[in-house]
Amino acid sequence: MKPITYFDQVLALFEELPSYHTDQLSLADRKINLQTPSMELRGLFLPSLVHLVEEETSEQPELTIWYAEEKDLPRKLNAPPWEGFNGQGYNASIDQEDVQLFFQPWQRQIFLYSRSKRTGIYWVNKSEDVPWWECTFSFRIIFHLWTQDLPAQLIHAGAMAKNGEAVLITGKSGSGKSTSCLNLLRAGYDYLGDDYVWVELADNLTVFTLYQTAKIEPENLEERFLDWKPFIRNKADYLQQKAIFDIKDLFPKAAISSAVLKAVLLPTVFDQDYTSFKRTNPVNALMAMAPTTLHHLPHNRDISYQKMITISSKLTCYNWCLGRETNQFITSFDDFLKNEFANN
Amino acid sequence: MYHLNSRLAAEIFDGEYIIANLDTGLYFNVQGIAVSLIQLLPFESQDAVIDQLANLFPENSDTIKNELTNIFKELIENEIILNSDLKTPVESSVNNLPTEYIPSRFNKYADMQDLLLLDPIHDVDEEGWTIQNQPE
Repeated sequence: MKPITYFDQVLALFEELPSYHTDQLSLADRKINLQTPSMELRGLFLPSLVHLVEEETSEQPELTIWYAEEKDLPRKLNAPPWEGFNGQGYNASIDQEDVQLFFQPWQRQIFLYSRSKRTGIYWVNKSEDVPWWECTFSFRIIFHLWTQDLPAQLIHAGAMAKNGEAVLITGKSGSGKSTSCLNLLRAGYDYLGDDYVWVELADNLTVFTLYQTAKIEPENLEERFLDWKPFIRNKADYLQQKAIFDIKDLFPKAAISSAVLKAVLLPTVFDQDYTSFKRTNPVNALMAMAPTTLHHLPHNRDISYQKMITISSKLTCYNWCLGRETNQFITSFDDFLKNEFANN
Repeated sequence: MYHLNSRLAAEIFDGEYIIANLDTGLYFNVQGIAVSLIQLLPFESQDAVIDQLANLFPENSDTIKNELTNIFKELIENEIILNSDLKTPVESSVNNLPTEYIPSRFNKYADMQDLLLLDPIHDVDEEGWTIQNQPE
């Protein structure tokens, strides 16, 4: 079977639906329709994207995403009939021009995307089978597959801003990226994301918000964000997962939609009191963002890699040596921005 | 004939060679005079090329020979440089010889290697779906 045939079989399940709910989003000034017959799945996937929801118009969307669980569809679906999916959900043997699949064989969920139809599909056996982390970056792989044809790239990074100017904060998991973003959020900075953001590669790089859901490890929560506990969304499960927060619950005015990117910061936790900034070369920025992003987003890696080279080369890059002193962390960041934004 | 592995994404970026194996998540960067070693590919004899580069800077000749020999070994071990017959001859960039000596460095970024998940052996039902769920 060809991937396009499989895609058409899955799409037919959705096109036969007598009714479904539509949410219209605006992401980086592009319209997206999310269409589902399942209010249960909508309740899982929409919260991380709810800040992008706009009043529905008749305007043709640039991307349509169908999503459902099996019980809402007219027929059962067989698993993708190809061997060779790796642990990252990618199968090189069926990678071709139009249809692409993301499928981890030990899960009962599939993501599909057709470039020619600009349509993504998410199918899951039962809503209980949706991995908890999937809802914190809803439809990430479909957005990534969509960007193949756009001057845009999803980056595994946080982005914080002031007065419409932003810094990208990137590094592998555990580097202090998310914690730094959330500390800046608490200090009054504008929030674009702390895990994944959307970067537009026009003359001036612009970062757009993608998700407004933060995840915090339970021990990090106890140590640094204890006052946020009343706002945990997954109160029953956070000790086994991570504590999940909606940014709008914590800081209703902090989330902004976009900002001009001015610099990239590479955080590292140091055994020192004071936080400092040291200029570094763009190779280090590329090495901080590319391996981790491309690990999560295994399709079209060569295209994404080139986009990340462009992003790294256009930004001034700094090692952000994180110290223990919280107040100085904030004042040093204030000073850094004043100098950095004034010089560019 | 030694040549750059064509399956890798290799770019000169900010004066350094960035080499990525996008399939396995292994990344490398090469700095200094070793960048010229890669730019001179393809070649038959590594000794001749190393001598050529070392002779550009007589005062550092021994150091250069030593570091380029070590980095060449790393490049071979990591399959960045392959030794095989080339179907299509490729011109080396002989115009890119360095004008100053910058010490070489070879860095390997293997963070993602630890995260690479193997496809676990699994039983499937009649519709092809895995029977037993496994955690991330």
